[in-house]
Amino acid sequence: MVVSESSARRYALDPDVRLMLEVRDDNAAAFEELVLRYQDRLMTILRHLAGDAGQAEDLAQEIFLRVYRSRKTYEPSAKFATWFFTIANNVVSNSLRSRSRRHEHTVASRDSGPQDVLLAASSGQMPARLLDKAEMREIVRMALESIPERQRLAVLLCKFEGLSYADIAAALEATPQAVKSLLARARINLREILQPYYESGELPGKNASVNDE
Amino acid sequence: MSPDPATTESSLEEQLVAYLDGELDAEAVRRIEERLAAEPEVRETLNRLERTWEMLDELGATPVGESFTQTTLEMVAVAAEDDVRRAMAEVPLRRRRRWRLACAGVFAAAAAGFGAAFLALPNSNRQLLADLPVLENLEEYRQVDDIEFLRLLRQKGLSLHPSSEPPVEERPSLENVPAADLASRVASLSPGEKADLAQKKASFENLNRSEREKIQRLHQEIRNDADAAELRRIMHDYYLWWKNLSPYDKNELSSLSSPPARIARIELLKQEELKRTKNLSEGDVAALRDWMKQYVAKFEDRYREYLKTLSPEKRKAWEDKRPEERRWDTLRFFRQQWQPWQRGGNKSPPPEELAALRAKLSPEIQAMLQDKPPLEQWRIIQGWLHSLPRQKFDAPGGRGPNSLVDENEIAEFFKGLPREERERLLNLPPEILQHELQRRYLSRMNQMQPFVGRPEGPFSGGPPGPRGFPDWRPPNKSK
Repeated sequence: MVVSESSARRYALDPDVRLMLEVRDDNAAAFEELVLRYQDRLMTILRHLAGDAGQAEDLAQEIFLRVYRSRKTYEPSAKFATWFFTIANNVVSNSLRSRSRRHEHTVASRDSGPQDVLLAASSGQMPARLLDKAEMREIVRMALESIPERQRLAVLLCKFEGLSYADIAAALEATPQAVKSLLARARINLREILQPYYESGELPGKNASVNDE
Repeated sequence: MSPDPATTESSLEEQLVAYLDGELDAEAVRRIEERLAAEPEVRETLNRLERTWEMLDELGATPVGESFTQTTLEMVAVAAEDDVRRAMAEVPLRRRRRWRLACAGVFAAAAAGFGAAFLALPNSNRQLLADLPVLENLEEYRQVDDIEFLRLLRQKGLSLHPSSEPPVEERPSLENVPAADLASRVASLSPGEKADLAQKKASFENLNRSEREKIQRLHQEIRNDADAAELRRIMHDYYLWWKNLSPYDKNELSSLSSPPARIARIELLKQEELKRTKNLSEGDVAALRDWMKQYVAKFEDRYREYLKTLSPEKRKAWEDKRPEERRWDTLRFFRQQWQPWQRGGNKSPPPEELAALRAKLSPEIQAMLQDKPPLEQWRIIQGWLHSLPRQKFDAPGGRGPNSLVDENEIAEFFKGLPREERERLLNLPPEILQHELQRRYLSRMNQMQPFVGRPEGPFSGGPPGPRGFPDWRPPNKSK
């Protein structure tokens, strides 16, 4: 394998970089391995960006296809996850842009919200022990999905992928300082929505106002 | 002038968030911690931000649906096919352009010689011809860091040539071939060879400059070496051997940059390979093959279940196939499942199936397996399935009833070849005819429907063939 010395070091450190270099060399088994490694992680993020599981899977497939098509130009110049989520960000942004042109909803098309969860509980369909968990999950999901997409993606990459500000900045094609502000605004927004719930059990409104800036 | 209170507040929250994320430098951490110690309201803000962040843990992971992996890989396979189709379409276009230019240049050539006419060709074509000697061994060069590695391999006398491959014929180097001859040689390549060359060219151009230079340097060093032919043979054998490794072994090997460390690892891998196969007699190999054939026939339903997850077009394509083609697809599906490194692919067959296989093996092998738990037994058997030369496994003709391919199928295949091909084959000596027919038949079977049953693994040994799907090669393809 011909790689520069510095690339070789990164290559040795990040197994996914090694795998992607295999993919670059047209190794189909390596590509499959890459899909297996990243599919659930990607879905966890896309599930909160797309309207439903079906749309999230469509986006995930589009992202893997882009990864495949970009294989020949892949250079191990960054942590693999950063490169991968840069592609993911581009695909998601394009998709959201075209959907907003078609005036489609992004994440508002879920079947149920926290009120539905409470309704299920009052009708006795759900044991009380599970209610707290389910209700909390629904409220957190709703809060997350009510903040702007870019803030949401930064939060998801930070929380679930554990990416540094520098890596998130690379993925979102922004500066680390901009990511710092973005994440701060996201967390302030989340706090505004969730605070009434965890302090007094008050359910947040479906259209809680958030700071887009 | 005092700062705007709102800005201060927002900047404080920004700093608190960065503090929670461990993104502040030491000085900023010190300042924040001072404020946290002195100001209860700052502590409260931090606690609220932290509590909100922890609530996100409730969301948990979202796994993909059951068929996601399969459909994604199939979609990518279709895209790969399209890419190759485009590459193939591009080659004749270039050729047409070259012919037009070559015709227009006849008069100029008469006056100034062919060299001048050739300079009128598109730059990309000139570059292609200039790079041709490097491109023909590009895949090999990419797996070899420097000439020292090859010299060390030679010194160690390690035999890496896969036993399933015919000996490599020494190819005359293209180094001193005149450009005009190279051009006509390229023009006479088959469409498959052109697509392969176009892909190599794209691959080479996509490398960064230092990588390209490194490859060119290696090429020059080998060319200038007194034992150039021998080093090329060693490089080619190494590449054939490397191609059959699992992705994990490949990664591990590639991460070792010092030639002695890589050679040590190669020796270790070779020892493991030997351990896996050395105790198997011809009878055991035949028994494994026989078992595999029966197993595939018995569990064909599982493949049918898998087919249900495919698009109606793919299902229809499968239904339209001849019985032997379907059988081959099924076999490929199971083989893929048996690859030890596939997630979910290394499930042990039912105990009664393992017992049936054990009973067919020689007493020594049975005794060796006997005391081991079923999973360990399966791991060993997987190793055999993975490492046995596929010729031994698949080859029809002369292998009796255990062969995976019927002689009748080969005969039918032969009948279906174009007349001139049949005549050419019939002029070959009988053993070469048999080998060539097997190779073509297996190649055809393996290329029929890429990715149904997912990509081939170690069984697909051999140098890169026509690139239908990346790494999707016909077995036993000789150069």
